[in-house]
Amino acid sequence: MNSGFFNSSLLESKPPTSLLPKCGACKLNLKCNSPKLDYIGKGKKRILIISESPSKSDDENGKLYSNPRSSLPLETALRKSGIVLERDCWLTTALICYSGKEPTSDQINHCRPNLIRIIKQLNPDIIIPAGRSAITSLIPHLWKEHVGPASRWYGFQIPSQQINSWICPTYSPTYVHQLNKSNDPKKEVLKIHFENQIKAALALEGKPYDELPDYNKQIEIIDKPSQAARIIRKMIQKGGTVAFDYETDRIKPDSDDSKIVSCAICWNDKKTIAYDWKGEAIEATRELLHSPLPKIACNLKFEDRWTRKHLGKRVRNWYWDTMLAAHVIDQRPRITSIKFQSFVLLGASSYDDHIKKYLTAGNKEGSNNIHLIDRKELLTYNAMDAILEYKVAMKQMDVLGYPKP
Amino acid sequence: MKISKSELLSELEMTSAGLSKRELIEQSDCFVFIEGRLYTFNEEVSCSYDSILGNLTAAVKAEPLLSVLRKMTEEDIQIKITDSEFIIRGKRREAGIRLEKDIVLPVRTVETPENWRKLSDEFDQAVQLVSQCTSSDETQFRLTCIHITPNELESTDNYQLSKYIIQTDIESPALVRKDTLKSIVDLGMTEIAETKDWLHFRNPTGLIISCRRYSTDDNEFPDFDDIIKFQGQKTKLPAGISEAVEKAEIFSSENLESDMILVHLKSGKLRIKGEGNNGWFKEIHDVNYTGDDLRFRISPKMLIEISNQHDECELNEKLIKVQNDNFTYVTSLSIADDE
Repeated sequence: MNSGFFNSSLLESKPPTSLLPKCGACKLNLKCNSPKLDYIGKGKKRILIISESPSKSDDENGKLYSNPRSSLPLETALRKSGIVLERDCWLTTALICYSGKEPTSDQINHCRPNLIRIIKQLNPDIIIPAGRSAITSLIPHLWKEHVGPASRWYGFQIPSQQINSWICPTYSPTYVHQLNKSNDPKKEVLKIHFENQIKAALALEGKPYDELPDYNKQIEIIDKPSQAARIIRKMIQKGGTVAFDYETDRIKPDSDDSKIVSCAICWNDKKTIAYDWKGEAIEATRELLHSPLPKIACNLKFEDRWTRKHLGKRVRNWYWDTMLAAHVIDQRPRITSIKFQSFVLLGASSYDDHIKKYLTAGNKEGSNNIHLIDRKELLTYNAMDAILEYKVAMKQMDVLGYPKP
Repeated sequence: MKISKSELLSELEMTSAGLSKRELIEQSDCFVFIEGRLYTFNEEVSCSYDSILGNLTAAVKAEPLLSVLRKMTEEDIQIKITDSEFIIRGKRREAGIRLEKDIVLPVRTVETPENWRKLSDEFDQAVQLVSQCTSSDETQFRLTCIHITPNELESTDNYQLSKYIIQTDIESPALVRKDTLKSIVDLGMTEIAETKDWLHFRNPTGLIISCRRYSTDDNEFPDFDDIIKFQGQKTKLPAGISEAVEKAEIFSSENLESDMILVHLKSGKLRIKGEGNNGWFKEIHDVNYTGDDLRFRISPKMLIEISNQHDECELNEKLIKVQNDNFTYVTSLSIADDE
């Protein structure tokens, strides 16, 4: 079979997300006393708290937060920051009908349009998804469908660009409360974590961005190798810091067939280019990588190994690896990729969904299907990696108090 | 209330394109009557029609209502509405179908159109033709749609493409899922209107079918004008090909996902083969072709349509094109590399 008129990657597209709740499929509304409970609160501080689902007493009384108790963990944590839930916040739930059990993924998916509608209607500055269901409901709307374990999200303050709100995931207050009543030795630590996460969220002020960044406008696709070479040599001449990223036809470069397909460089956060790995551009890249300019990458051992194989020398003056820095800042698993880091630190939406499948190994030799990706799509993706690596690195240096190059 | 069964059945069937097989959205598997107008809605298609049942507000499950009406032999039936049942009475039979008085079907999310314009008489034909070239691969959402612009309808599944030049007069291009747009075919639609999220079609009886449109801002449709422009060897299509295709389709249509027949063109001969789970059919025709051996797959309906309206095609080593004043079809030749 041939490969079609157009590159498959160019044609990848998801159907737009449905904005109508699937109550007909869920049917929880038929099994509870008070179906479709609306949000509560005046939201004077523009804070939206998303809990898991209505409690039994909420269902009986026909109102969320029907049984407020000042001793409960959420109320305690809010009070410590001078926040009164019903006055300063809005409260809604991932499921708006009482379920009596932990919500299932299907129920959360069916009900997600209700949450999106409330967010659009209220336009909060800060959103606190509390617990697994709330996180599983909110994150796919802002980032990727596959959220992974809730534990990797707790404690971040994500400046979501899509809705221009701070997203501050934390534990379920019910879980914290239940653990508090038990003899579990973790309970004190969990309580401290929970209160600190709420405190950090409430310390945020206003919207994350006055003007939303448009990274696509900051990147340049260079068609001619000679032009790319000219720009790269100018970068060397002017000095500064560069983040660079290769796109290759496999993970490991050791085979003689291995190929670098494209490269992208972000220079001083001022200019980001992506170009085909061809002709004069290769030599100019070699000069850049052997120059004293500080270098940034994500998982630098990858770029270093490919550079040694294809350019014959190691990269000079490595300054920062966003993956290692992510490990140093936070030891949780599954948080170090540039996609995850750029979402939690910069609020960048997912940009690799249409390309990812072509970059995973497709045969026994370990080579991928990068050749099926449309050139412009690949170079745009490559450039996005480079620019985000630079920006993430700068954020991480701020967090760690590390001097910038 | 005494009414004509066939009239009620007709209005229910006309609006059934808006029904959902499974109730995902509440009452999306129901006929919903709101103050004398009948509605169906499944998020992609919304239908509405002035109902024979008058000023009724209720939702009734579609499947039992249709089944009961279809099985009743009487032409005149009695309808009685209680608080909880939709009762149908014939001569010696009676059926009660549960109804809901609370209407929760979100039909109000469908915008009301204001400026109706005349729809081209050829619109049905254009939809039927271009819908043959859409993809069923949901990971390539835009290819599952028909691209509607102010003056053309087009589609591609990345291996074949079609373009029909027709005045639609819509203001901004839209993507509409193939199955959604096909729901208006054969209903005598004469007017079109557009709103932000919907394209609306109306026929002289007052039936309105609204089809959800998707913006091309988020899903840019591939531009295939350059592909269409190619010039190649002109070849006469043999007469009687459509009868052969109809026979081949007996077997190819067993492939529900992809109903395609194989065409093999070699010097002086054209062979058509249709294959399915239960057998195969092939037929050979003489043709004035002198080039290399070529094979391609094509939808049988498209080939019948093409051969009925055209007697010539144009081909090079990669593509075959059939074109007339307002319709162009191109398919990739190297797609079929086996028997």
